[in-house]
Parts: sequence; C-alpha cells; structure tokens
Amino acid sequence: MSPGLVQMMRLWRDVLRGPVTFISLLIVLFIAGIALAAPYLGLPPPEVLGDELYAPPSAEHWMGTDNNGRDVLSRVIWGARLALFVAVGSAVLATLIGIVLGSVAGYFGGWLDAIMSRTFDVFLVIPAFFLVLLIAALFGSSITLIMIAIAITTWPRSARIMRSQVLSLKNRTYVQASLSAGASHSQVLMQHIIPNGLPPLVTDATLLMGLAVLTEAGLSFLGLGDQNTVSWGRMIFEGQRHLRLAPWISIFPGIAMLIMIAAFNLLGDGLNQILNPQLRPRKRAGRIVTGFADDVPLVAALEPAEDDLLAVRNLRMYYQLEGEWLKAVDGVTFGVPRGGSLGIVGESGCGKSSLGAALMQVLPTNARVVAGEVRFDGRTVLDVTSPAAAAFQSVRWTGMSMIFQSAMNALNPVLTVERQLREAYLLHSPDAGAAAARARIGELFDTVGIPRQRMSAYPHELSGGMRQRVMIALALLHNPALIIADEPTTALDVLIQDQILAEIDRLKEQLNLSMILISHDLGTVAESCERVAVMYAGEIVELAPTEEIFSNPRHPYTRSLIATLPNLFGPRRELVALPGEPFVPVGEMVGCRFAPRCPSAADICRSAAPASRIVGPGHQSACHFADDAERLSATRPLIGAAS
Amino acid sequence: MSGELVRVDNLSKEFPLRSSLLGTLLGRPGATLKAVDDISFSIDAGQCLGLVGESGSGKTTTGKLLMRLEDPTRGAIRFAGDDVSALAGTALRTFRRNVQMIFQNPFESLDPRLTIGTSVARPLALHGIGTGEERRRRAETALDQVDLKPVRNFIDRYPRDLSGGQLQRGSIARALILSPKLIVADEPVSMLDVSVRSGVMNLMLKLQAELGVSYLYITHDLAVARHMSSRIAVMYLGRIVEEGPVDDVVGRGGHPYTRLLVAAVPEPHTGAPRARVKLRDEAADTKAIPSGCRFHPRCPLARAKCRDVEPPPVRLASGHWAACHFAGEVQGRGLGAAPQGAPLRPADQAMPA
Repeated sequence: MSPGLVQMMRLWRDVLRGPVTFISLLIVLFIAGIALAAPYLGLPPPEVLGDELYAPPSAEHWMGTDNNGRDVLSRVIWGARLALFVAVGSAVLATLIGIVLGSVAGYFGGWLDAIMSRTFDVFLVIPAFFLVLLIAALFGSSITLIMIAIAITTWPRSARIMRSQVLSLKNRTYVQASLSAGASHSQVLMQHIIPNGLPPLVTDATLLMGLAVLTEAGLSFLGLGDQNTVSWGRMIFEGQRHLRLAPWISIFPGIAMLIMIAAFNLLGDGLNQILNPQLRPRKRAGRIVTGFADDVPLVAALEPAEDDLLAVRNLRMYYQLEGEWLKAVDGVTFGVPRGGSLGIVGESGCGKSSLGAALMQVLPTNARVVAGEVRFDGRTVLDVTSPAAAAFQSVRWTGMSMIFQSAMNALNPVLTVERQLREAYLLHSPDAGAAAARARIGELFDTVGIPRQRMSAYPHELSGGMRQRVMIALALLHNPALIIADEPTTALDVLIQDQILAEIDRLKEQLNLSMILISHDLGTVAESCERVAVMYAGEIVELAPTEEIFSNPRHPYTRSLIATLPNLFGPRRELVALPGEPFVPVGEMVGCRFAPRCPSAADICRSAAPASRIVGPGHQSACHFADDAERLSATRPLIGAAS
Repeated sequence: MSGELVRVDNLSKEFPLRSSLLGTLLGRPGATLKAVDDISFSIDAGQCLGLVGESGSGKTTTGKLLMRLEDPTRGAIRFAGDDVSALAGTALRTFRRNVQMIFQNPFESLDPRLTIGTSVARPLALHGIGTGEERRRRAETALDQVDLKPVRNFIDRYPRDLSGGQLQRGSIARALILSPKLIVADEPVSMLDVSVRSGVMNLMLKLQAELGVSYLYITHDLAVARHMSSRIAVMYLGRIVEEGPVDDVVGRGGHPYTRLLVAAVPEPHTGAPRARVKLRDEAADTKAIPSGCRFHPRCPLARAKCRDVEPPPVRLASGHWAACHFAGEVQGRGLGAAPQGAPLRPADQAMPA
C-alpha cells in the first residue's frame, strides 16, 4: 500500500472515531449530494410560477409554495447549489491566495515580509462586508463575481495563518536537513513546509465556507445578489414580506442555511481535532487495566527507619491514559533520615519526577495516587486508605518544599521576584507584615548569593543561574526540613550548573537540610547525595550508599547506566549500548521490567518479577541475580575498575 | 585516509540585531551580534573534531556555516582544497552532497508526513540519483547500516511510530545516503535517554571506522566530545579559545575556561570532592562582548592585562594552543596558577569545596 493511501486511511479512521465530525461530514455530503442531483430529482422547476399561491406544506409541496406559487422545497434545493458553489469556490480561492502569499511572506521574511504582512493587516481591518458590497455594486452581481469578491475579502485570514505556520515550520530541523541535502527553497516549500502547514488552513477553510454562505445571503437579502439564480438570501428577503401569511417561505431557507453553516463549523472543529497533532492523545500499546492488584508484593526490602524524617511506603502513582493506566510510580519505598540526602536517578519516563510530584502532592489532573503512605516528621501526610487523616497542608512548604526544574516556567514573568517571594511568604505566614516578608527575603537573598538590589528585578532580567537561585530562595522561605530538588540544574550551562550544585550542597550543610535530589545524571547525584536510588519503569531497582552504587552495583540496570557514560579521564572504554528503549509501565506486566534489555537476563526474568532483596548494609537490589556476581558481570564494565 | 578535508580561516558570522526601519533605509549600520568571531580550524579526512562550548558560544552557528546553511560574513571555508564560502546555486547543491548534518532534536528531524524510507531516500531524489526502486534499495542499505533492523519493520513507518533513538538513527541514515565526506553532528545525543545515547555514539564511531567519514561533533559535554573526537576546540563567546589533541586539552588545558569546564564535570567514581572554584554568576552574553580577553569577567585568574589586551593564541605543544596571556602557567598549574600582577577582583577566590 502506498504511504499516501495509508495516511488517507488513517485520517478516515480518525474521522469515523469522532462522532461530531462524522455527522457534520455526513450533513455536508448530504446537502452537496442533493444539491448536485437537483436537476434529476423530478422537482418542479424553481422559477416556474404555479397556480397555488401561499400553499402551506403538504404532501405535494413538502415545504409549501411561495407568493408566486413556486415550490419552496425545489427552491431551497436549488439554493443549496448556489450556496455550495459560493462557499467552496470562495474558500478554495481565498485559501489558495493565502497559501501563496502567506508562505512567500513567512519563508523569505525580511522587508518582503514586513510589506506583505502590513498588507494582510490592512485588508483585515477593512470591513469585509462593505468591500463585497462595493465590489458587487461596482461590477454587477453575477454569482462568480460575488464568489471572487468574498474570496478577496477573506484571503488575508488564510495568508496570516499560513505565514505563522511557515514561520514556525521553516526552522524545523527536517527543513534544515532537506536544505543541507541540497534542496532548493521552492522544493523545501512545496515538499515540507506547505504540506505540513496545511491542516489549520483546511480547518479555517470550512469556517470560511460558512462565512461565505452568510455573506452571499446578506447580499441577496439587500437585493445585490445575482437576480438570475435562486439563493437562500433572496428567498428570505422575498419571504419576509409574507411572514405573517406564509412563514414557511422564509423559514425553510433559513433552517437550511443554519444547518449548513453549523455543519461547516462543526466539521472545521472536528478536522482541527484530527489534524492538529497537539490535540491528539498519543496512543500506547498495552492492555486495559480495570483494577489494581493489591496483592502485588512490595518491591522494597529496606524499610524506612523509625526516626527517618521522611518515610515513604509502597507509593503508587498512576496516570490515566485513554482507559489504561501508566504506572509512573509503582510501589516505591524508601526513607530519608534527618539531615540526610537521597539521590533519585533514572531516565526520562522512569517516574522520578512523578515521584517528586506525588510527594509534594502537586498532581496533574489525570494522575492518581492509588496506594501508599507517606510520613513526614512522624506525621502521616499521605494515606490512601484514610485520606482525611493526612495532614499534608501543615507541612507543605513549611516542612518540605521543592526546587523546580525550570525557573523560567515556575516564575511569573510579569511580577518582580520580590513580589512573588512575598506572596509565597504571606501565604504561609499570613500574620507577618510586608516588612517582615521583606526582611526575610533580603536574608534569603544573602543566603543564596543574590545581591539584595536584584530583589525588584523581573525574572527575565536575571540570568539563568540567578533565577535558579531565586527558586532556591523560594524553597527555603519557611525554613523547611526537607527540600526536593527536581533536576535543579538541567537547563543551565555547565559552569553555572556546577555553581548551583555547590550552592545547594553548601546550604544543605549550613542549614542541616534533608534533601531529595532528582536527576538523570548519575554523576550529579553521586556528588551531592549520601544514598542513591536508581529508578526504572516506576520502580526502585537498586538503592544503596553512593559509594556502593559505583563500586559494587548489584543491578544490571545500574551497571549499564554506569557503563553507558563516557569518562573524561583514564583510558577510553567502549560504551555499553542497551538494546531497545526504556520500558513503559502500562498494562499487565510479567517478569522483570528490565529483562527485555538486560544482558544478564535468564528465563526466570521473563516469567517472574524479582523482589527486592538486601545484598549488603543499606543496599537493596531488585534482581533475581543480585547475588550472582558471575551472571551480573554479563552486564559489563564497572567504572571503578577503570580508574 | 589522511590530509586536510576542511580548512576554515578567519571565519565570522554577524547577525543584525533588530534595527529601526528608518535606520535601515538611511543606510545606518545597526548593531550586530557576533555569533562567530574570527575562528580558524581544520579537520583531517577521517577524523573527528569536537567543538565544545556552552549555549551562546557560537558552536551551532559554526556548524551551520560549514554546511553553508548560513552565509559567512567574513572568512574562508575550504573543502578538499576548494573555497566553498561563496558557492551558490548548482555549485552549492553539488557541494552539499559532500557534507551532511545530524541535528539535536530527533523528533523534529524527519518530516512527520513522510515514511522513514521516503525521508532517507529524499536526498537521492533531490540530486536526481537513481530510479525510485534503486533509491528504495539504497535507503534499505542505509537503514541496515544504522541498525534499524529488520529494515522492513522501519522503512514504511512514520516518525511518530518511532522512539527518539530510532529517529536519530533514521537521521543518520539520511545523512549517509549521499556518501558524504563530512558530517556535522550538532548535539546528536543530548536529547536521547542515557541508555540510548551510547548506542548512537557507538554507531557513529563504527561508521567513521567503516566509511572513513569525518565529523564535526558539536557538544556541550566534554566527556562526550572526548569520547568521540581526536581533537577538541573549545569555544567561548564566538571565539575558539583553545584547540588541541583531546587528551592534551582535557588533561593539560592552557585556558582557564577549559580548566573550569573540566572541573565542572562530576567524576562519580572517584568519590573525592572536587575543588570548586567560585565564579561570578553572570552567563556569557553575545550582545555585549567584554573587552580584552572575553572571558576575563568570569575568570578567577584575571589580571588587569586581561581586561585591556586581547590574548593571542599561545602555542603549547605541537597542534595545541590556547588564547590566554598565562597559558603556559595555566597548563602547568591549572587554576592554582598565580600569574604576575594583582588579581582583577580580589573578592572571588577559591571557595571551600
């Protein structure tokens, strides 16, 4: 099957899936079918005068007759022909003009774009209807002219949409790639940019169609329509004089117009849903899960200690995705001692950030904590079995707080940083005055190393490193005992990254903070944390003191993570490459989640999920072969051995 | 395979900053952003040059200049002996058969409307090479080379069906299909998952060994650059500040910036805390390039001379140079060097680790 055909079939399948789109498409096709078939339906000719004037709807005249005895049904159907012609004709014409001018303006840019976009804008502010009126009045009112007039007033819309599409598409990597492969500008425009930019124009074209029908009807209503054709507008115009006597003369064309425009608009909406990939949920393979098995063994062997500041037991946080559950955090147990630090390491999608969100109880709307218990400072702050008993609000930000990944997204761009910090301060200390807030913020700026005079700066006026320091100040605002830092330096440049990590380390010591550092980078975590938990597909697969993780890793995934990293010093090693991609924990799972990629896997790994076991002091691993050094060594090198 | 494939001399690229329309009409020169400022380097056939720098250093622009996706403002690019810096039209298209690019974002690298096979074969079509059937066969070969196997499972799939690692392999296949002599790879693994990265890096090294292709490998990650390259050039604010054989630059760098970059890499297995140097937090800004040595406002070793005089490249060993007034001293003693004269800012000295 050709790729084009496959794509068509996919599109069609999507159309069938959305009932509104499907129904509106049916209506449009139905109207079009009847309109095209009008000459063959055996209707009385629409313009032939009859003897029965003002006849109400009857078996003979389904929609009655008008003041000249003409059959209203026949006239509505013939009117549909005209409406369709105007709608499709003007929409296609306007869209074509828009595509050409919009892509030229957007692609070539510079002064050409400046002049062209101004022109679009000027055209847009001219009231369309008056321009059409002018054209119709000046050049007469043949239906083709009306169609062109409508197109001339509506194309700037398409042009503007196309221009903005091209502006974003021309910087896409595949366009750059095509250019570097030797494509000319026109080839790139025709092959990559315009086809990918079309979807919103198609959507908009359906809206234009509705607009065109209305405009034509308006013109006819004013008597400026084509006098030689049957038009809904003219019917309404003529019928209004007989509204008391024979309302059907104007009501039926009115209803027809309403249905058609509604169908166009709904179709546009539906097409937008289908064609806009951002509105389309990504589909995943896997079976639907209806209930949660409570009898799944806990994955942890090491229980949190009694006096741990934070104790997490069997935490499960799932995302609902189209009838199935993504088990982002799937039975996680660990403890963080007072003043202690834990690094959580894993790749994207392993659940590390979801874990952070679950601990701070900032859940996305489609996420649910389905099991687990979290205790903080001896108090239960999260308990799925009795949510009411949990007292998270009393520790939020005052007991535990968070440093977010992207300072630019976490800070409000239109407020000064002082204002934002003040609001956060007063939220939890409502009785403190503005002066106390200011004093506290100044103190914190000293602590995190920002000059006090930068308090009144807006986020964009600060460098990336400064913004991240503001985020740290925000987290410290209420003297929390625990800070969760979710990739606090990922967006920053190498040198600044190092500075921020140093700052966090220093504050941790100075303020005796407990810390959870979430990162994809084993090196970062290793340096700042006493213990490391390695996550894979929602589970903690290994948890150990940092030194142990590197010198004596007991899970093949940990071993591979270490061996996939190139080293800066020492002899260059060949990097271990794992087959496949990280496992997505969806549906029912059998066996070890890492087994499909694991160089050490055996039959048992594919049939039974390994339970965590203790393999050393404070060291647990969820691998069937955690004690089998020989089998583990199938997953190659140890970085420790190299240095 | 030996000899110089690419030679870049005094290459610069300036982008006009937003200027007023009136100013343009009156021919008033607007402000410019010097993305790349007078750089020179060369790449030997079959070799990989790692171009390392932070965001805003100009490393990506350098790659695009080499690809001729951007036109140089000044300077020469010689490819296999021919000056290609002013090529246009057909000559430019012919040149582009020899150089290809791999981009950072695998999810945007392939046209979402086209199957992988079509995208991979597209460069052949653009150059009018072969019939449709021959092109498909060559696409199959290329997909096989990048280990997207079995090929029939991938060739008719759409980008949205593939993972990041698979897409990046597809991009590499497309880059290979014209048998280029040079591939410019702009952070090709930085958006991939850690466990997928190494596979793509290994693949690139394998292709280099098998096909003798040269790379310009652009990255912010010194360890990755070291793994992929034989030589490294370190860029800062549009300039190359140090260049040399990989292990010389990493182990015996003569520029404080290089030293800081090396020091900023956590070394997980040593366990020993690194000595961290406190820097002023200001990130580099291409719009306001500092006087003298452009690194002096952040440099812990800066002296008055650094603010006033731009340092010339100092030769440290065969094929290894650094643009620092105190390169020799830095090479010997690293960031512990104590050049003559008073420090520019006594305030920021080494902080406790």
